[in-house]
Amino acid sequence: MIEKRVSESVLLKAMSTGADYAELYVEDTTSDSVSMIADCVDSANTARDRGAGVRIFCGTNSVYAYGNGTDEKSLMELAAKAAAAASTARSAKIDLVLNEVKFDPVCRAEIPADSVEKKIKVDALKEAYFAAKEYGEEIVQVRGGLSSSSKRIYVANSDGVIGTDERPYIRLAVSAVASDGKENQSGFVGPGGGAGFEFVRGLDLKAEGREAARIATTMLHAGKCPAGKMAVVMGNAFGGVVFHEACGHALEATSVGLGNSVFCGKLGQKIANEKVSAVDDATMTGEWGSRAMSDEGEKTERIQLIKDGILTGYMIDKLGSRRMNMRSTGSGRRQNYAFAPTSRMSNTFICAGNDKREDIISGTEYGLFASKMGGGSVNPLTGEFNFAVMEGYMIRGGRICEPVRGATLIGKGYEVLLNIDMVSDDLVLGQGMCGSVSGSIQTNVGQPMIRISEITVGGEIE
Amino acid sequence: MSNINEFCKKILDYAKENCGGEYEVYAANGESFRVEVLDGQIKNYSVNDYAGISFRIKKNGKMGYASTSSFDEDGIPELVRAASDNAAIIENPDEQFIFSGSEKYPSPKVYNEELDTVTAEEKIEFAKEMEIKAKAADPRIIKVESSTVISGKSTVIIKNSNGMDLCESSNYVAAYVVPIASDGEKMNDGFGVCGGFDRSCLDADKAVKKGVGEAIDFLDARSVKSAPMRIIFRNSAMCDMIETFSGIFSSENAQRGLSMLAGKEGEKIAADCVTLTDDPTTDFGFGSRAFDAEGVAGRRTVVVENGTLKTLLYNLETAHKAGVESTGNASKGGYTSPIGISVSNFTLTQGEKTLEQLAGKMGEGLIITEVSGLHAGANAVTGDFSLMAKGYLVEGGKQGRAVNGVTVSGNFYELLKNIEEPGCDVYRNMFGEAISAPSVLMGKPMSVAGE
Repeated sequence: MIEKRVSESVLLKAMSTGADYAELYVEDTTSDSVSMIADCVDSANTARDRGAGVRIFCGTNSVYAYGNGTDEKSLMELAAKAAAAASTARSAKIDLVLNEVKFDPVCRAEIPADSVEKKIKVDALKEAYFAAKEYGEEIVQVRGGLSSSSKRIYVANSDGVIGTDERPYIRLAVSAVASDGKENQSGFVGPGGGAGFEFVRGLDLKAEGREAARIATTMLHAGKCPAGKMAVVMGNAFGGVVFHEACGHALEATSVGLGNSVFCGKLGQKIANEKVSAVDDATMTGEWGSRAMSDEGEKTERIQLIKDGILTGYMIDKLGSRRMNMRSTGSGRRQNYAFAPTSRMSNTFICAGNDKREDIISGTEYGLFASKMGGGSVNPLTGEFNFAVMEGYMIRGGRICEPVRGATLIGKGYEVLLNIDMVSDDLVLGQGMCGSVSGSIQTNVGQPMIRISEITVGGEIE
Repeated sequence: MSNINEFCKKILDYAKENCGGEYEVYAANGESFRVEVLDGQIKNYSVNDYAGISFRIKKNGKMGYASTSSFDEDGIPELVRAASDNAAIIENPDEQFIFSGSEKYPSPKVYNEELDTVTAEEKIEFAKEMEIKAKAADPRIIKVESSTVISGKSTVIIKNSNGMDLCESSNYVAAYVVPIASDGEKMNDGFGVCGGFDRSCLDADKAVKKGVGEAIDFLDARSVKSAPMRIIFRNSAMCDMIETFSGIFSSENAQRGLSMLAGKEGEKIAADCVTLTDDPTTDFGFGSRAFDAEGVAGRRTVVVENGTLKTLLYNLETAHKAGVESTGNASKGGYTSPIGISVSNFTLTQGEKTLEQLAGKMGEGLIITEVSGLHAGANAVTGDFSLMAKGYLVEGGKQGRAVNGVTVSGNFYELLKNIEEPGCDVYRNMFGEAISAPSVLMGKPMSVAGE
C-alpha cells in the first residue's frame, strides 16, 4: 500500500527527536451493512474508511498521531507531529533496514462479501428475520442486520518489518422482542466469522432467527430470578464471557504491565481450579477473533494462559513487552487507525474438560442454569465483574426447572476461577465485540459447560 | 476546513449533474488532543485531525447512505453510486426528508476561542499537577493509574440540494484522574473528572477530591445481606441510569414497539415530582447545538412535566408519521450513521434538598454512587435492569460505611413512578450523552442482592 522508500522516511522522521521505536500503520477499510425492522429493509449503508497513524516509543512512553491522509506528505506530517511531542533531542544514529515479512493468512473470504449482489444479502437476512418474526404471535418486533467489512492493513516499524494483512469480517445479527402487551422481553443471536459470504451460506438462517425468538418468548414467560449466593451452571459458547471479563482482561499487558491487575506476579502460581485450562488463540482459521498479523506487524500466536489451574501466560503487546520485560505475544490490536494499539484478546476460551453435561446438571441440588449469557464488564484492578444472564433456569434436585429472568452474576474474577468445580467436554465459541482503550474489536469468547460452586446472583428479593 | 467545504460542494455538483432526486452531504471534521501522564512523565500522547463525509440520496422516496474518509475526487462517483444502490434496496414505506432549513436558528455558545489559547504544554503541566496532587492527597494513595487531559474541536457541515447550508463548530477540554489506594492488602481505584468550555474548568482539586475519595472510601467496602432496601441514586449514578434508558423517549423506538411509552403522550408515566426537559439551546452544554443532524433548528422541549408525558422526541420522519412537528432531535451516532434520534441536553429538574437531607429523610437504606455493567445488565427495550452497584449504607439518617459487591435491580418505567424526591445537587454528565440530574430519593424499597 505504501512505497518502502516512503515508510523509511516516515520512520526516520518520527525517530528524529530521540524515539527508540517508530511504527507506521495504514488502513483502508470498506464496509457494508443492511438492516431490517418492522418487516422491511430500513437502512443500507456503505462506508470507506482510510487513515494512518504514526507511533513512537521513548522507553515505555508512547506518542501517537493519526489522520485521514495516506499520501507521502500527510504521513510525513504525522511523523513530524509525533516527533515534536517526543523532543528528547537525543540524536542517535539510526540504522533502518526494512524487509517485507509474509504472514500466511488465517482468514480468507472465498466469496468476498462486496462481490455479492445486495439483493442476495437482503434475501439471506430476510430468511433469518422472518423465521424470527413468524415464530409465534408474541413476537411483536424483530431487528435484523447483516454487516460485512474488508480491512487492508499495512505496518512498517523500526524493528525492520513491513507486513500486510487482509481481514474479512461478516456477521448476522437478529434481535427479537416478545411482548404480552404489558411487558417486553428480548432475545439475540449474532453469529460471525473472519470470512466472506460463504459464512452466511453455511448458516441455518431459519434456525438462527427462531433461536432469537425462542429466547425472547421463553423469557416473557419466566418469573424473576431469586437473588443470593448459589451454585451456577453456565452454558457453553457465549457463556465464556465470564472468563473473558473475569480473567481475560486482567491477563492483558494493558493492566498487568502497569501493576494494575490482580494477576500481577502470579506466573507459575495456582489461580484456578485444576480442572481449568485456558488459551487465547488468534491463529484459528476463519474465526471472528483471528488474524495472521498483529496490528504491530508481528505474527500472532496461540497463548496458553492457564494450564491445569496454573497461570502460564499473559497477552502482551510491544509496549507491554517493554513494561514487563517479557516478549510480545503478538497481542497488539486496535479498532482502527484512530487508536494506538494495545494488548487485547482474540479467541479466548476455557478448554474442554472431562465432565459430562448431564452429570453437571444432575450433580447440582439447587442453583441457576445460565444457559445464554448477555454481556458484562470488569474492573481489572479489583477483579470485580458483572454480567447479565439472557436466558436462565432454576435447577432443583439435579433437574432444569422453570425459566427465570433478570439475573446478573457478580463477583471477583480470581474467586470465580477457583470456584469452577466442573468443566464439560462441549467447547463452543461465541462472537462478541470487546471495548477497551484501543477501541471496539471482534473477539470470540468460549467455553464448555462449567459449574461455579458459589457466586452472587443479582435478582429479585422476595 | 475550507478543503472539506470545497469537497462537499464537489460532491453536490457531481450529484446534480448525474442524479435526480434530493441529496445531502453531512461532514464532520475536527481535531483532538490527549495526554496521559504517569510518574511525572508522558505515558501516552495522541494528536490527530480527522474528517469524514456522509452522502445520502432520496430516490423514489427511499433514502440510501454512503460515507468516506478518503478525500479523493476520483472517489466521488463511487460514493454517489453506493448511496444510490443502497436506496434501491430500501423497503421502508415511511416518507423520507431532505430538509430545506428552519426559518430561524438559535445561537447557543458552543465554541470558546479562549480554549484555543491553552497550549499543549499547559495541558501536560496540568496532567502532571493533577497526578502530584492525587498522590499527595492521602498516604494510602500508592499510585495514579492515569492522569489525563483531553481536548478537541469539531465542526459539522450540512449542505443539500434544497439549498440548506449549515455549519457549526464546538470545542471542549476535560481531564480525569484515576488514583489507586491500597491498605497493604487490597487495592481500589477511583475516578475524578473535571472539564468544560474554558480554562477555569480544568480544576485539579475538584477531580482529585472525587477520585481520591472514591479510591479510599471503597478500600474497606463490604457487601450487604440481600434485602429490599430504600435507595438514593446519587446524582452521577442517576445520570447514568437516565442515559441508559433515554431511548425510551425516542419516537422512533416507540413507533417500532421498542419503547413502552408508545401511545402514552398525555398520560401519567412518572411521579409528580418528575420533570424532564431537553434543551440544546443553552450556552455551553455538552449537548448544545444550533441544529440537529437533519438541519432542524434546536429548541427546548418539555418531555415530562410533573409526571405527565408531554411529548416524545422526534425527527422529521417520525414526526411526519405521528402528524406532529420535529422536536429537533435527529442525531447521528457518527458521521457514517443513518439518522436516528437522541437527547441533546436532557435534564431532570432539581428539587430543594441536599444529599444529606435526602439521606436524613430516608433514614435507613443505601446511597448508590455508581452503577456499572449498564451495557449488559440493563435492557432498554424492557426497562429491566440488574446492575452492579457501589455506595454507602445510610443508618439513622446518616451516611455510614461503604458498600460494594451488590446489585440493584428493578425496572426503569417503575423507577420513574417510584421517585419520591429529587435533590438540589445537579451533576452534568461529561462523557456520553449530556444528561443532568440531581440525586434522587426512591419511594418503595428496591431489590439489592448481596450476600
